[in-house]
Amino acid sequence: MNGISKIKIACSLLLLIGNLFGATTESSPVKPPIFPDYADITIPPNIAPLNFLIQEKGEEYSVKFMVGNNVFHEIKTRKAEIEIPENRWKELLKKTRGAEFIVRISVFSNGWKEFLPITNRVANEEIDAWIVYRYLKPLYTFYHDMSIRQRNIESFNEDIILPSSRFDRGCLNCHTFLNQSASSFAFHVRKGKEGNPMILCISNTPSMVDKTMGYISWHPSGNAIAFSLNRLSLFFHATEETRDVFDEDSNLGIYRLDKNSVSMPPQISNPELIETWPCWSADGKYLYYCVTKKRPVKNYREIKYDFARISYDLNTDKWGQPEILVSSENTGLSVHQPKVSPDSRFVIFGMSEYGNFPIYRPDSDLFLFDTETRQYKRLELNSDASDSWHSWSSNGRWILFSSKRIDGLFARPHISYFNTNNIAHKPFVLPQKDPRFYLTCIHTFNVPEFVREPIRISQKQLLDAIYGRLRTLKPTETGLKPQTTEGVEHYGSKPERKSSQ
Amino acid sequence: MKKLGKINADLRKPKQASKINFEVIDDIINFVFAVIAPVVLLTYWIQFSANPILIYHKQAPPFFTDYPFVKEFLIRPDGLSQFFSAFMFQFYEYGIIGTIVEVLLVAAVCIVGWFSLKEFSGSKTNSLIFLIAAFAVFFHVDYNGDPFHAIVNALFGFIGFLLFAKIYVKNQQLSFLIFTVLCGILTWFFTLACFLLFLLCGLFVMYAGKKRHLFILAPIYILITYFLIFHSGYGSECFDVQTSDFGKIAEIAIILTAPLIIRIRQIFKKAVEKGFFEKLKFISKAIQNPILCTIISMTVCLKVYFFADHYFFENKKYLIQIDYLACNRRWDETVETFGKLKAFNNVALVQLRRALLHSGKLLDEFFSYPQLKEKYFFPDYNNDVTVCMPLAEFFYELGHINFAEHLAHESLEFDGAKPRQLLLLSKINLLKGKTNAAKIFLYRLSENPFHRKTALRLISEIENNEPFKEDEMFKSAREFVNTVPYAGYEVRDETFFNQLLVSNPKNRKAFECLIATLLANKNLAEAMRLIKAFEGFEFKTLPRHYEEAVLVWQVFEKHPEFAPGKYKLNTATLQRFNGFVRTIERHNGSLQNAKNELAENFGTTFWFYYFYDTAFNQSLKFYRQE
Repeated sequence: MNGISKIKIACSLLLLIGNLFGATTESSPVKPPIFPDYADITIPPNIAPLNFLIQEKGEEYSVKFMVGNNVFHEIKTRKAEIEIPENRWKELLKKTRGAEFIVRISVFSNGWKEFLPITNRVANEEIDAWIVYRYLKPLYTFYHDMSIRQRNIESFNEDIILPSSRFDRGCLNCHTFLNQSASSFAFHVRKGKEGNPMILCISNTPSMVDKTMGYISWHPSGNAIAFSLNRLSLFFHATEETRDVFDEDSNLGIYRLDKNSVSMPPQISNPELIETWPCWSADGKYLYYCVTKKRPVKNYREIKYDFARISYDLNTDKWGQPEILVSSENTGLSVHQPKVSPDSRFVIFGMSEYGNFPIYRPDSDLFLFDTETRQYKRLELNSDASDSWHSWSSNGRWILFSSKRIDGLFARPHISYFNTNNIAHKPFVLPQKDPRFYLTCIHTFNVPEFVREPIRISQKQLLDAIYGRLRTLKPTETGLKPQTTEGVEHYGSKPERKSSQ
Repeated sequence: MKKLGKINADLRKPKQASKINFEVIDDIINFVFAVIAPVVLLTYWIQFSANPILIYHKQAPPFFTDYPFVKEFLIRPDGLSQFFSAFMFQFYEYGIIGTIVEVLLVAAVCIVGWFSLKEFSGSKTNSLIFLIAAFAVFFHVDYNGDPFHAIVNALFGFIGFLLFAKIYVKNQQLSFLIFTVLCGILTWFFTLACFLLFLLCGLFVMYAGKKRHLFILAPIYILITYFLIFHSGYGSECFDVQTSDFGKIAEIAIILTAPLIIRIRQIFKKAVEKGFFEKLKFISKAIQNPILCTIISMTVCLKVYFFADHYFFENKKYLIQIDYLACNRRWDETVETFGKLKAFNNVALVQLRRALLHSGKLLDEFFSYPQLKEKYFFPDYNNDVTVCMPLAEFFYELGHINFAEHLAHESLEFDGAKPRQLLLLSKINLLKGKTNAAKIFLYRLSENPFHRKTALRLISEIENNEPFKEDEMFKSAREFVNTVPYAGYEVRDETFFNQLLVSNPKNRKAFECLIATLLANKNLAEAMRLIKAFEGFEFKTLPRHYEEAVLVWQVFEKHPEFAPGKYKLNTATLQRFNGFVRTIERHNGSLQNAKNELAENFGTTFWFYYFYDTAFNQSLKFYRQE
């Protein structure tokens, strides 16, 4: 044994003795610097371990999970990455369901330093176990590599539902589920010259609908889909946020699956107006949407959408009269992406200074609209960065949304508890096995949607549908025809190279 | 097995009839020429013809070691060999090390192959296997081949076979079981290796001649696996081979021809033994003569080399080199390399303009080089995505951060998360005040073990509030960031440069680009209006092209009253202009007739461009070709 080794051993022993007897614990009056921010949040009882990184240099780290005054589990490690064992985490959540647990974090560096404790609450209500999202880089004009993926929130398992590399690197657009069922969903693909059809899966049987549809919303009965036909263009700013989207024209239509017909009723397809972002109420009686007057692109900053709804009777195919629920004249802001809660009582929509593409607007925030009182309020979960693409859990207690709050560039899925007093708790980012995941991930999570069970349909089946090898539906057009007869969704300066975020 | 042993023994017998000890000569010559020659040729080829650094610059795929990245490879067929290839490609960045790594791996394949072939016949007649190295030169003919993909497949194919052959001698049933399992594993992780394994094992079993019926399991197994691959939709990714793709052809050639190379001499020997060549005794002798065989192998080796050299895309090499040099801000070399091109592309043109600008020659040499058809300063990225990254770098240096961000993201999407893209996006986000986003790009870079140290240093610099402190261009870009709001689908040259000049009137680079654009568009009125600005930017003398433009403005555009401020036109310019005018007069004012003479003497002037919309620079190859 050489001299250096002896010194090392001596130092280690001294350190150990110091730890056991002499080392004092200094209390730090600040919250622990952890990433992601999992401090003072409300979490579901069925979520995967909230692994985190302690962003403080140290030689040793101690993390104690306390239930009451008892230490339930302790992690002592030399690594700043804290990975919580899944079995112990599940036991912890089971034990503290409907109650709180405390996390005490200490870092050893010339003595132990203990930070202020973190108190996290475990809600009684479970969260839907699966989420589905698009996984892509921050896109501009071209797209090359994207996929629709599903993730089990209860664990870290992630599956690729469909990567764009399987169909000539086309584009995959917003996926929409029927009542959060993973067996019935629709999404839109762009295959360049081969067209932009919609893929419709009903009870795990996919088919291609030879009709381009923009934003879609599935009627809860499953018999109809409301859709928008937009003429969107991507344009760029020389300062601040680079990307922006202008909607030159848009109307709403309805695709009756039972009749395989498409119509553009005049009530929601006014040629003088732009109607977009359709969303059915959970009872199917109302269609919520956003509407504004047409304006030229040079006045893009003046384009502010109102929040509106219209009644609809599926049996008689009768539409009521549109009613404005939130007027942009009053708010001075533009409404987008309404999403109705499962009990139809609330609608969460986004608002930003102008336009209808919130993911590119840093000022985009989420608001809660009460259909009973017709009042709205800014939700507590918002940040300085873009908050958008929200989704309700099937029990209406959890809100999933995309937020760029971590870095201002990449959208990450965040979850917030929505309590019985209609308050959205502090949101937290979807946990990952590797605590450093969001520090190194240059992909964005787009359109996160809750589903109650995993999607079981295979890539092969979806590809067969995309390539028209399965049933192809050619809807008949009834009533007022769409004003745009070709291309329909112009997204970017050239139709074949559309941005998709 | 007896039969196999007997043949092996026969092959090892010394030749009684030979007066010269061909065995010894065979060994020596084979080793020197069939082993060393291909390896030396391959080394020379990679190092001096292809240049490993250029291979890295053009071809190196993104490589990281974090689990999400690795998982993407593991879940698709052939993924592991692609991951291995991505890893090995990183070594090219270190020049000769990359060359050595590739050559050593090719040699390793040959050696493993050699060992495998001992199972057939002993090593003495098998050194032709080293011809594999000769074929490897094809990987770099057009900077598209993927040598490591082939190497790893060949390596696993041979190792798999070795395992099979060793066990076969002891237990045939077990060996077939292992073979079947290996086929399954290799088909998923190293798809091409399975072909090699199948061929080698097939030959071996036919050679050994026992229980061949068991062998039928393997093709069935392979077919099932391949059916599953295609069924899952992965087929197009695995087997997308185009006939013009030299690298892919080489890859398949190596995999498929290796067993044939191994067997060829033995097949001939057997043919001789069976008397096929009795009537043609000279062929018989020739085939058995190791010197002749070695000469043949050498000839093949050299032939392959010269064939590859003949088809080597030298122009492509220079195009890559220009991009590489500009990327490393070696401006003079960039301009010099441009002169070697036989044909240019948008990337080369953008990098040339960047180089001229940074070396202070833009307004002296701009019209010595070709112009874009549309006369824009920047080419349209919509028609050529390869130009996105050079444009992003150019925009960033000029200070147009948002447009740089736009194009850097286009490049990130198409070229992948390579160090070049990640570093630029990090700087851009810092300039936009998005420090966390800037760090994410660097953290991403730190997942590449070859760049970890640099990335962590840069993160530390950001945390210490001294971001990119050694990067002069970063400081300059920060100074010139555009602050003029604008919204639109695209912004064209003049508006682009004017925005930069409004943001910071000291942005001399933007000014020079603006003048070049105005001249290219023959907007002389505007260019002359800006004469005062030259004083502001402290030009000691007017640049050559601007002087030429002043003369055009005064004489051809009939503004004799125009005076270039405090500047005096250079006497040499005035004399040349007189020469230019006299040449036209000599041809009675016919521009058509005067063209050749003017091109020869004034092909690099603004005057020539003014009349003919082109340049003629005799020092450039592609003009000479015209």
